[in-house]
Amino acid sequence: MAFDFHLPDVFEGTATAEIVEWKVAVGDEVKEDQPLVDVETDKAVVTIPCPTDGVVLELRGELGETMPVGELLAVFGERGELAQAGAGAAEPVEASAAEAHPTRETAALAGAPAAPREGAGQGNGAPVSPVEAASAAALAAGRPLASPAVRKLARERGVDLASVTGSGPAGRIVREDVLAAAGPQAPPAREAEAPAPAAAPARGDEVIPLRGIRRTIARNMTESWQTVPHIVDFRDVDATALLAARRDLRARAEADGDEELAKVLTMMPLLAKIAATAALRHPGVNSSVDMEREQITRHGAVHLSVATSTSDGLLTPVVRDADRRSVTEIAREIAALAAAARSRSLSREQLTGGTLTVNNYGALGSSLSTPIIPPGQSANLGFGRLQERALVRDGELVAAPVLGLSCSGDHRVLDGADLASFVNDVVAAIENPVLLLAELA
Amino acid sequence: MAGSADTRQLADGGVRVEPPEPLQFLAPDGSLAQEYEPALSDEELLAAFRLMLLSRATSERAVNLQRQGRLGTIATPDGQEAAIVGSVLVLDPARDWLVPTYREMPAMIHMGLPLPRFLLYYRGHPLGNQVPEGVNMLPVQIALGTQVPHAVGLAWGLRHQGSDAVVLVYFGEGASSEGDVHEAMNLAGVRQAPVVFLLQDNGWAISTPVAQQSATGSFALRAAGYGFPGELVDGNDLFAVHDATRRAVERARTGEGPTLIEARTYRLAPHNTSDDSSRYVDPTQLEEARARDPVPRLRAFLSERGLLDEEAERRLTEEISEELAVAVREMESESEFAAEQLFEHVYETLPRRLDHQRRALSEGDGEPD
Amino acid sequence: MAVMSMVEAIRSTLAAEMDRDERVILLGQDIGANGGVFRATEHLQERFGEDRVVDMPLAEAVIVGSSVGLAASGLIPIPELQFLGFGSQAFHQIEGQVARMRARSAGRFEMPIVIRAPFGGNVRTPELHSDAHEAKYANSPGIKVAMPASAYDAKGLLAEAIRDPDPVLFCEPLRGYRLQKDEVPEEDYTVPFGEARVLREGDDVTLVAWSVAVNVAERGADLAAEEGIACTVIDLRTLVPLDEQTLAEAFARTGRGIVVQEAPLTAGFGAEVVATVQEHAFWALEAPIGRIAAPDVPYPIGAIEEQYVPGPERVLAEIQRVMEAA
Repeated sequence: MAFDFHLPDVFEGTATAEIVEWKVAVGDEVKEDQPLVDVETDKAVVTIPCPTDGVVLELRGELGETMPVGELLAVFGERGELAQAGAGAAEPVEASAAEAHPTRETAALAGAPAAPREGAGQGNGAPVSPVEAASAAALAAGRPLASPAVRKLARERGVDLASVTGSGPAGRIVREDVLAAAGPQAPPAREAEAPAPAAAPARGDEVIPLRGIRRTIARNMTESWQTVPHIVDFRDVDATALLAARRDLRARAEADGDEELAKVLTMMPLLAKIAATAALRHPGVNSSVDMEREQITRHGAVHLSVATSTSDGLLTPVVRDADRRSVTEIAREIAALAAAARSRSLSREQLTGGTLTVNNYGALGSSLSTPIIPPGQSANLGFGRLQERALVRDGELVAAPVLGLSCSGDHRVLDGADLASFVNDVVAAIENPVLLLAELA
Repeated sequence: MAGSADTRQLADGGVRVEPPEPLQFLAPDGSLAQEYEPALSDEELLAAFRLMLLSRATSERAVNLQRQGRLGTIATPDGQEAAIVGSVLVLDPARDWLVPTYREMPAMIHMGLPLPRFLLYYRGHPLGNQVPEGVNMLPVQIALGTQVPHAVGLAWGLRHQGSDAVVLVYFGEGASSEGDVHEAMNLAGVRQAPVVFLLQDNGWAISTPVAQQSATGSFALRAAGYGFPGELVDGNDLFAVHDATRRAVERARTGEGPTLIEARTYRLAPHNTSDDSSRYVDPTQLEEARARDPVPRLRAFLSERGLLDEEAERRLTEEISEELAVAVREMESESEFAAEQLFEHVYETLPRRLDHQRRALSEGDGEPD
Repeated sequence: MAVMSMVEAIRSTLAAEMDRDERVILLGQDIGANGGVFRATEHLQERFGEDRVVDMPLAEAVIVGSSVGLAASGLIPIPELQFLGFGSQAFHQIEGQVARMRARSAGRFEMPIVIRAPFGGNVRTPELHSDAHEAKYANSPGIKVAMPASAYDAKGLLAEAIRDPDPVLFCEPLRGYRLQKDEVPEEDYTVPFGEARVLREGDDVTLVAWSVAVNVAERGADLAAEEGIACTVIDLRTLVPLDEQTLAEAFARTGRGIVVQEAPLTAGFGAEVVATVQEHAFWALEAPIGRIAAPDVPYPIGAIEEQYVPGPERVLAEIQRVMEAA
């Protein structure tokens, strides 16, 4: 078996050595300690002896060539390996400067020695770290945990930390907690980076204060766009089958005499159910990432945030447990939520807790979009306008109803492939709704 | 026989002391002084020669291993074998103690240090300087001269507890310039510590020749300043070294205090494997020194006495070669260690803070709790 | 229970330990007939003999270096450095030999050595006699550093140090030798290393000190109390090992704190305290941690010493500054 010998550090800190004279030739039978090569370092000329008995298979380094310590110098082995070695000689070998001795290097953390004995005062059970102990001590003394930066923010926003519940580790108050507590109050006073006073309005300008839902949306969208790396998967989907399904479901509702249901059976409930079902198979899109704790939580249930337009702006009431509810239920629920949204009677509970968003951006005509993922979620599946378009089906040009689909994913959680897999399932179910039967409980 | 130091009163006051001739029984050509009767038996002489050969062979092997990257930097005692072996043979390894620097390989072996363990130290292994229980030796010392106070304390402590053990401490003429050596010898004189100071003047402290190390004619003269005897011997003469050491050990053992022996010898190899001595050693001087090499000198004597012939030496050489090969294999097979060993043996019980560091290192995150 | 000064506590502990264990041996300059220049070893030579209380030549390196050999021979040596400042003469033996011998020999040779050394200011000593060098030893792995501030701790920590198989630098406060008196039980006890002492608790600010500076911190805390500021005062007792937990929790409870040290500011042990506290209690801090120390200048001559050594007024000023920090 071939023995690779790398140029050692012969003089305590040698970096390179120049080949002065080879004492052996390829093919020579050598003994351990027999002179191998004379090399010159910046300190002196040194003879390096053979590290082993055997046959010289390879010699690297031309006369006069300067080689770095750690580079392969020579290869030793058995006579039979000579031919093979010659063939492979042309390939450059990676220098591994760390190796002093090839086969017996002591690098690995091999085998733990007897564990050092417990330090004094550690007591029984797992030791509490000083950080944990200190945090507990502060809280016990009624003092909030917050970084200096957060404390400064709180001061500037006039937030009393004692009244804020921290969402960070060990109950630490983080920036978002202060911002949420600051809420719809007066804008920050004595802000060091306060923008210069606005110039007097020019002709025709109308200044609208950012308030209420608009302000919340502005802040949420800013935060999302600034912290979440969005990737978007765009598709054009053949909606023929889904349209047929909707038609049949409506017909059934009318046959039952349920005009209400027939009215609320739009594309959205179907798409919502498809999304919820596909989400179960791709938990990454139904998750939340916590960058402070450095963990991803995959939610067990699918609570769909359904983007709903109101005169005040976009709201996203939540259809809870969409993965467990029928298309019919979802249809009724979405309708009810939309009504509540328009009448401004949505409760806080109805507006929070969503794990995945679906939105119908196509209502006003767009085919593709870049949906923004709400904070705390990892994906936003959007559907565009349904439009009759040219399609190639089985090699033939046909006219078909095409639905635009744009799905955003949080690239911290989902790679392109993860997102595409989810979208593939959605597309497959749209093109062949029978696939939903596979998940029907 | 050595003469006595020549003390001269100077015209302008003060005293100048000229050193005597070094004690010598065995001349460089291997002929023994007529009036001297060897104090070592034939077996002891052959054992001494074998130890010197082992030392020389280990040096050669070790340098090769270093050049192959299998050992770290090593300083060999080439040329000093008689100074070391002649002195250490006087000790009783079961009772007496050796305090070395790093160069006295044959002395360490004589005291019971296993050869693989010696090599393991130069491998750079954390257990390499763990002197096994029962081997009366302090660890290899790199900080020159610092071991001499240790030796004095050790001798003093052993005597305090009723032992008649003697401590033999080695250091070079270069190290003897360190303040620690002066402080230690001064204390030894005051406490009458049972210690033998064996100063090897090998001519060089890396590239500093003796003449630049001290203006004294003989380092042994310093002993007078500390209140105990000093003796200059030919360090390449096994018998002279042995004789002086025997008397010094006897002195110490019977409570008569310390002795400083200066063994004048010569460093035939570079200071260590990182040194290129051709930069500063005059080749002529080196050749002359080789003519005084203690190994051929003893060989000549042993042959002349009929105690050694070519065949016997060839067998010895083979034996030694095999012993070395086994030791190298054993050393290399023991070479594994883990990062956690950084924390073993720092304190008897690891303090909590250090335990955190140990866990952080072994878990690889390098972060505190 | 008796009220004792620190030097009395030290002396009685040395005697008790020498009684308890015949391996204990004292060595140093002027410790025998003279009983030590501060009388820390008074009468001990009479009691235990010249072989166990040994007057040494004026040579710090061999006083410590021979202790290495004494320890290797099986004894428990207690070498004295007449003043910590002169420990520099022996530093290479302390840092490079005493502290490392166990690790170097992978456990074969342990060094149960206690190096005793007085230090500290406001006693008008000549140059180098008062210097506070503890940080240099705290940064030397393998040796422990104990700095008692009370007579009670002097006895307990010294007994612990002597019984510890590892080497300890035991720093004794010059000023505290006579002036620090408190109740010391007669029975045998030890104070464990790595456990700080909380002298008082207050919600507003934590003061950390050790040895000579503890008294200064206490008086600073008294001044602060008059202004309605309640201080927690911590005496570290040992720098190595360090009681991180007590420190972190106290700072976390108060949210503000300062370190008081007599040594010069830069790279003093206070820097280690601050680093450790911010590592563990960062989220609980309301204000930057303050440090009171001597300025980064050589220890001055006696008459100007008062300007150099931190006093209670400076502590109060720093407390106020830290309380006002937004």
